[in-house]
Amino acid sequence: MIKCLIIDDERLARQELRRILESHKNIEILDECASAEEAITKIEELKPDLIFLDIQMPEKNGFDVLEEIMYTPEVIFITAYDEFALKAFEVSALDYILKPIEENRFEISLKKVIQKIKEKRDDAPSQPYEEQLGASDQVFVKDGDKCWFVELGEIRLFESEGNYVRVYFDNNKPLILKSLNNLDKKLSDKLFFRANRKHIINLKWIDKIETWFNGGLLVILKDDKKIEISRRQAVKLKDRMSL
Amino acid sequence: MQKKNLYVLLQLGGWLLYIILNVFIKTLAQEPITLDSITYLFLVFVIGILTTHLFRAWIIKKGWTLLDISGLIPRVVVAVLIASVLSQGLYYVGAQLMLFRPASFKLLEVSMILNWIVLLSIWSIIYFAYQFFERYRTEEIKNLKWQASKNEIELNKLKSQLNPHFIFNSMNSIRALIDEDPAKAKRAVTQLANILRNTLMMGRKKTVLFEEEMNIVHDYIELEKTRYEERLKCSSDIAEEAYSYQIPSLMIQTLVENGIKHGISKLSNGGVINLRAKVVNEKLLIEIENTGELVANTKPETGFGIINTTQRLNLLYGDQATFEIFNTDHHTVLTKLNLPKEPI
Repeated sequence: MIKCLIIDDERLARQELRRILESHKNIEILDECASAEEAITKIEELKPDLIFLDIQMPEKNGFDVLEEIMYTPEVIFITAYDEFALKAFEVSALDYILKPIEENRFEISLKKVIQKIKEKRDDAPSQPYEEQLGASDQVFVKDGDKCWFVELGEIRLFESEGNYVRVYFDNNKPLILKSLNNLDKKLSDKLFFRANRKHIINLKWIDKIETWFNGGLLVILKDDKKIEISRRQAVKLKDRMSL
Repeated sequence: MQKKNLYVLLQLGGWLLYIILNVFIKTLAQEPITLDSITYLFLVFVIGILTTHLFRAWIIKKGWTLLDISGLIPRVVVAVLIASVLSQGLYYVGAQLMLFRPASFKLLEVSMILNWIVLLSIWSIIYFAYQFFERYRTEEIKNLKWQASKNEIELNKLKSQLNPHFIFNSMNSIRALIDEDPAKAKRAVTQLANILRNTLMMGRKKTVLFEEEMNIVHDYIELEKTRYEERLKCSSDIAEEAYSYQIPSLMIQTLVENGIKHGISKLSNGGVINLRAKVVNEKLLIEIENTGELVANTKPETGFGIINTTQRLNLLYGDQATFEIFNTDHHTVLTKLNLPKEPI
C-alpha cells in the first residue's frame, strides 16, 4: 500500500485528484492539505510515501514546503502553468503533471514513482518506520533556479555557513536553509557523523583518517576535502569505526 | 549639420553651374570674354546667392515649408517678383560700383528682370521640391514609428489578457465539477468561452459599452469563485447611468484579475473584491477595492497589467483619463479609474 497526501489550495483540484486516484486500489489517501503550512505539519506527522504537490499556493508555494521539511517523500508536482517553475524542472528533470490533468500522462508518472518507492522498500526492508533518515531517504535541495532531490547516501558533507548549511554532492554544493544541529538529530547515526561544530560527514565517503594534534583526527574525504575532528569526537569516531 | 552642408553645397554649386553654362554659351556663340562680362557674371553669382539666401531666411521665418501647395504658390510668385526686382537693383548698383562707370543697361531693363524671375523661379522649384520630399519622408518615418508603438501596445494587451494560469486552473476546476455538479460545470464552460471570445476579439473594438464589460467581469468573477470557492467574496455597486458609458474593452476585467491574482490568491483565507461605478461631472468613476497589499517593488511581469492599462488610456484619451492604484491600508488595495464619455 502506498500512502499519499494531496496538497492543493483549491478544493476542486483536490477533489479531481481524489477521483482520479479512486481506481488505484494500492494507493491510500491519508489526508488532504489546503495550505503549505498544513502540508508541512502533516508530512512530518503522517510520513507519506508520496505527495501530490501544487506549486502555486498562497503565502508559501510547493517549493517552500519541500525546503522546510526534513522527511521528503516522493513528489509529483502539479501545476497549471508556470514558466519559472518548469524551467527549474528542466534542469533536474523532476516529474510534474499539468492541470487540467491528462490521465494518461498521470498514469505514467504515477507508475514511475510507485516503482521507485517499491525499489526503495526492497533495498531497506528491515527499517521502514525508522525515525532517523537513512541512505535511501532523499532531501530536497534548491539553489536559485536549480533544484534536486538528493539521496542522503550521495551527500558527502554538510557544512554550516551562518544560518545556512552547504550540502556537498556530485559536483554541486548548494546552500539550504536548515540548521546543522537539526540535521544532526534527524540524520541516521549509522551513516553520518558529527565531526565538529561546523561539519557532519558521511562515513561512507571517508577515504583516509590521519592522527592530528592533541589526540584529534584528520579525516580526508574521497573528494580530498579535509575535516578536522576534535579529541572528544575522535573517541566517538574510533568507537564507531571499530564496530 | 548635414542638411546645412547640403544647402551650402547646392547653393554654391547651382549658381556656379549657371555661371559656367553662361561662359559655355558665350564661347559657343563666339562672344569674346572680357573683363566686363566676367564682372557681370561674378555679380550674378554673388547677388543670386545673397537674394536666395535671404529668401530662404524669409521662408523659414514664415514657415512656408509647412503650407500646402495652394497657399504656397501665390506667396512664392509675389516673393519671386519682389526678389527679382531687388536683384536687378543690386545688380545695377553693383555693376556701377565695380566698373567705376555707368552700367550699359537701364535699371528696369525688362529682359533682365525676366531673367531674374526665371532664375529665382527655378531656385524656388528646386527648394520646395526638396522640402516636400523631406516632409514626406519624415511623415513616413513618424507613421511607421507610431504604427510600431501601436503594435507593441496591442501585443502587450494580448499578453496581459491571456493569463494562462487562470485558463488552465479554471479548466481543471471544470473537470472536477463535471462529476460533482454538472449544471455548474456547464455554466462554467460558457463563462470561460465568453471570456476567451472577448479576449480574442478585443483587438477589433477599441471600446465597449460598460454594460457589456460588466457582463464579462461577472463571468470572470463567477469562474474565479468556482475556483476559490468561499475564499473569494465579491460585491458591486453600479450606478444606473454608468451603463451607457463606453470604456476600453477588458480594462476592468484586467484590473479585477490583477486584484485577485496579486491580492486574494496570495492569501490562505482569501478576501473580498468590491466594484463601484458612478458618474461624477460627466466622467465615469470606477473603483475596484480588493484585499491584499500592493508591493512597491513588483517584478516586471506583475506590473504588466498596470503598464498596459496606462498605455491604453493614453492612446485613447490622452490626458483626459486618470488611473491610480494604491494601498488604503495594510490589507486593502484601491484601483481608481476616471474616464471621459468619449475617446479623443
